[in-house]
Amino acid sequence: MEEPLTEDLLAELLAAPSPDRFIKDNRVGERDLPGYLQQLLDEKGLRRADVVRAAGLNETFGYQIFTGARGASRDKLLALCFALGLTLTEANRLLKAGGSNELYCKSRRDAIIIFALTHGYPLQRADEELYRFGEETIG
Amino acid sequence: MEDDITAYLDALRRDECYRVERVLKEAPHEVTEVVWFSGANDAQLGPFVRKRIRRDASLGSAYVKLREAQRAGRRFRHLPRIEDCYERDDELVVVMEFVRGETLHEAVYRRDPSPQLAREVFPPLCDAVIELHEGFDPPLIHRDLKPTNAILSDAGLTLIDFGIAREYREGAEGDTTTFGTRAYAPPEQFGYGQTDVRSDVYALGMMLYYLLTEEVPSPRLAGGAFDLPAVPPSLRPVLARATAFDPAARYPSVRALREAFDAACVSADAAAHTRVAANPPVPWGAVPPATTSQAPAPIANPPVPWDMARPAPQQLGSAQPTPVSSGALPWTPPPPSSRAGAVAHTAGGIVRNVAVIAVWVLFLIATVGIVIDPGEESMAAYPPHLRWMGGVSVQLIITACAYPLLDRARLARRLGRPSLPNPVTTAIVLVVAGFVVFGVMMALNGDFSAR
Repeated sequence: MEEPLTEDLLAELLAAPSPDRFIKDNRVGERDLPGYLQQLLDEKGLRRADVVRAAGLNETFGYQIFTGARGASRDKLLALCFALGLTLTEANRLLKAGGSNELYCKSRRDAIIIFALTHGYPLQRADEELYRFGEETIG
Repeated sequence: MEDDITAYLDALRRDECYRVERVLKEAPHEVTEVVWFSGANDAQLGPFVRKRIRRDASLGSAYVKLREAQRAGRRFRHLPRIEDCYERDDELVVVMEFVRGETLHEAVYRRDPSPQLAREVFPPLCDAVIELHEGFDPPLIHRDLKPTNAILSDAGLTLIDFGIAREYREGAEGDTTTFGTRAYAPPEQFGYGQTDVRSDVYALGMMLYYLLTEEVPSPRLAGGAFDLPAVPPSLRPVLARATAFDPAARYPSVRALREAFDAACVSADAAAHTRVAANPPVPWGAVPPATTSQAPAPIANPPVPWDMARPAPQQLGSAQPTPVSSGALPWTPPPPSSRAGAVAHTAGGIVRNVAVIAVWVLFLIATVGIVIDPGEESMAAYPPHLRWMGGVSVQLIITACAYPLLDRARLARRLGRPSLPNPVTTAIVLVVAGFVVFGVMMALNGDFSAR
């Protein structure tokens, strides 16, 4: 889904009866999960099947996430972050789009995940590190 | 590998202990704050400067290199000490020492641009950049050298802000991102090619121009003649070559630039000293010629006490070679009285002084003679004390006439004083005093003769 141009949004905002209503109608700041996933696939030139496999997800389950038929838990989303090779900003956006909390460096588990993500670790290695530090693994 | 994450987690725990005192600067790609480290019992350690740099385009990688070098035990005289350096979320956090002092920008504003200032400040500035270039392999190019990025403190000069510094990579087509301040950054930094040590040479050339003129340099000046009154002639070719548009035409390294600067200083000194003209407005460099053909001062210079004003040493032809631009011999302007006289030994001055003083003594003798033993009738009519007063007043007026005729410069040197009082004001004072004394004498005389 393409994002509406800012000027159009501004015009509508001024015309709308209330900001809350406007935000709800236009989903400002909200991304939906399937849409953003597809956008990322396009940007990075990856195929859905490869990504699902790399994330260690069940094929059907992965397909359903991408079409929006099912939601995904935070850990599943994190697995997708690694499979897609996202930067920290993109990962936080994906988590938010999926309705989960963003990565927070004050949490020890999140901090390790952030480190692994920004250093380009594959999912498996990230899991090994999490295990080593006594935290719950992702996959 | 395992240490990486452990170190990272430890750093995150330390990160929680920093307390921000104030924000120094906020830019889109980095935030600079003054922070204190709070210990377990609320004890404070600091202050430090903390920079939080956005982690894209490998910004801030120079800090990492610098910290590694310092952790390995290397010391840098002109680069800040990095206390801590870690990642946090998407940022690189660098905690470094807080250097107290004023930036070059403030120093030039406070002290006014001049060749003396350039002499004092430019060599340590070059040394600082040399530390960056030669201390790392491949060299670290600063790429953001400007007057606000150098701090003058008690310890000397410190370079700060390596945000866009990067190591030199051979064979790269061009830097992928363009940063820097247009005034000081060479053309290649804006996409015409890759930056290397000569880019810093360009920036240093522009900084020298700023030290001399306090003008923000413009790319239009690059490689030009720098034919300005504020720029000493001996420095113009140095500036021209340092700021040439084509990197190949510039000095190949900062060390070469520094040597050229030192050589220009020496030649300016030599030229000034051999000038025998009556009124030389000595431009800069009254250092005795014993310092010709000096090797450039080594990097390990004594710290430049940049706000001191020691008088130039008087020993001519000293046996010890003294470094020309180490800042240990700051140039101070020659005493104003020397402008009125000749610098070299001319016989005319001696004769003049002797003649004037002889005449004055003659008048003194005549006056005292008349006072003591007035042969003429008119003088005898006055009582002795009035005669003395009359004699004093006459002598004062004679002194007022004689003083301006003296060669005051020679006399000042002979007396060991920096200068003698201004002739015009002295003459006026003496004349007034003479008339006052005369007036008092007449008044007393009036009283006396009225009795």
